[in-house]
Amino acid sequence: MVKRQNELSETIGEIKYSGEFDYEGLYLAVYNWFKKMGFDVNETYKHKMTSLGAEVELTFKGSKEVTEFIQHKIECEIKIWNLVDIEVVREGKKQKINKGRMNITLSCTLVLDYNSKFDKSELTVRIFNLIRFTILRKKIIIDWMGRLIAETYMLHTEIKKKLGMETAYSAWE
Amino acid sequence: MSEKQLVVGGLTISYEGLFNPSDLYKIIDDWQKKHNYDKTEKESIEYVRPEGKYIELRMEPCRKESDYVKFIIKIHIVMENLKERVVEIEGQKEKMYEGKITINFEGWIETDYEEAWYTKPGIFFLRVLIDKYIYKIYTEKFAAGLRAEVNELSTQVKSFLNLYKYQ
Repeated sequence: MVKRQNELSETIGEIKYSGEFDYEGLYLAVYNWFKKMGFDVNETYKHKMTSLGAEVELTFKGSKEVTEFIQHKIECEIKIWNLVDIEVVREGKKQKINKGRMNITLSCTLVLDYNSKFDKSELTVRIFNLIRFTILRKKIIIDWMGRLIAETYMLHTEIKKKLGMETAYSAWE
Repeated sequence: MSEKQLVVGGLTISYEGLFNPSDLYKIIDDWQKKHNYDKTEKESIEYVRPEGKYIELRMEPCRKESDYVKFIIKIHIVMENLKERVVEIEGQKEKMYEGKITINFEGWIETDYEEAWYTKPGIFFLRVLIDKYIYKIYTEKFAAGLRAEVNELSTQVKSFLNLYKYQ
């Protein structure tokens, strides 16, 4: 049986941050971004207490059916160490925020024929591979994958903005 | 397998003093868009430390020049001991940082990035011969183009940092 290669994946750069941030605000920013962009979101959450603070592992898996043939998947993995609550005074008002160290990894996957319509027989799989590797090869790599990568970088910038990073900017927005 | 050739290396800019990291990032990002490079940010680090902020960036914007040649610019930025300062520029108060910055630029040419010539040993050998004796003229032309672009970007960054010296 001929194998159907219907997925293209790419890892987008890692964000490493240490300092003060708003944990709840970050969570909502990521979740709301997925919703705003039309993604269905699945979350997993792990929490562990240590003597230095909490250890949190939060994963968002978003998927969106763009057309009958294309599906976008974006995964956002947030790992936080030494997470503690702190109180700061901003513009004369006391505010409860958080402090900690984190790594955020973003990756995206372009899924073609996600309904497996071309997976019915060896002939249809061969037709799919012909489309995937010959007829639409360039369109898939440059246009479709390029659009998904650009979309993932939008989330990348959104996260940086929420963390108040100095490099929270994108010329493409 | 694709092949990578270093065209520009050892181009480093160091600066110590007042500057705005956000504006610097904006200049590099805008430049990439203007020159049709695809944004690739491998790593983006920001740590708030007692001695000041630490920012590190690894960018690898790339652009496909043809079906065979791709330009890659590797930019590594390290900003250390950044301390917040409020300065007055033309009567307006502005938040800036004082610290040390080192930027390293490298220009790479990647050939056969689609690995079209990698299917069979014979074809691969033929590719090596073509690359070495026939395509060489084109590769040199591409290398000159990339060299000019990396120099343009580094000059733009240098000019941006020099501006702060006179404020």
